[in-house]
Amino acid sequence: MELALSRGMNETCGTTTRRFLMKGSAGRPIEMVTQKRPPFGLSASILVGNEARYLGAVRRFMHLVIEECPIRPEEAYVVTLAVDEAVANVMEHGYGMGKPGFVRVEIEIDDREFKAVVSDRGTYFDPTALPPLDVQAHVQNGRSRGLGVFMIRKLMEQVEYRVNEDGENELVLQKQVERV
Amino acid sequence: MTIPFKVVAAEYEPWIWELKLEGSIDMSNYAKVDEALKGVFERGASLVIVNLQRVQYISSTGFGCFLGYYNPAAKEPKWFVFTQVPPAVKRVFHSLGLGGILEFAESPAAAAALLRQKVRKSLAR
Repeated sequence: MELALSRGMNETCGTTTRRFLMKGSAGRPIEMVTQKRPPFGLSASILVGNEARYLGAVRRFMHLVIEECPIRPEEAYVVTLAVDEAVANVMEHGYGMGKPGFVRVEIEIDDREFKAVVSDRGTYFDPTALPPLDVQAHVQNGRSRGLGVFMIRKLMEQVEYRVNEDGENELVLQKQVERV
Repeated sequence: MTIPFKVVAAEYEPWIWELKLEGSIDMSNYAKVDEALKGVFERGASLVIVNLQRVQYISSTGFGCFLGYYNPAAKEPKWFVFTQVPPAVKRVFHSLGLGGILEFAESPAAAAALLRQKVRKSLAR
């Protein structure tokens, strides 16, 4: 998927809002919005359709967020992985592959904390209610899938599931980070 | 800079194949990795060096491709050794407890040596 960015910028009340339009291979734009919250904070959001090919766009979005609010590279990789896994889970299990739907990712990041809210209107399911996984036993029993939730729980310090007032599933991921 | 996804399988030396992955491996393209692996096994090979030097990102679906073949107790087990794994990826593998399942080597040559050792051990049983 070719990703070409075009940017527009607004500055109001000390905040800077940037809109990025990414073109997918079908030419349909994906909008990402970032908003700086001085002195070190940033809010950002992206909305993608329920197609696995948009996972690259979500990671590109994460890269842009971290570019604007840099954290340690190992933490950058971990939070990107957690968000990607959460979005992939929605696509595969929340909606089912090929079914219509959207996934929204909203990020808040500052010099100490990273927070992501992954929202969707798929099947209601609380991944935090799954029992802990013994990964060694899981693999030795011949199972190679179903590691996404396990990874999210291992990589993030707080994982919370809720249904918002609009009836959307929200998976909230939080982790302490260190700005560089 | 984004590295485009690519998977290339080539014979490294007799009986040992090298699978070089590039770019990002996720739910959208893991099937191509699995297809490449199946292609290697269909040639009769069971020893694979997995070179991740140019991998920028790999999700649980991506490395699940390899875990699916992990069965040391099998009559004809498939053996993988991962090499040139980017530090961020390796850290995640270890923090998930996969260090005891997946094997790593610093270079393709070291990976090949490890695989040859496994064959010798299994023949000695």
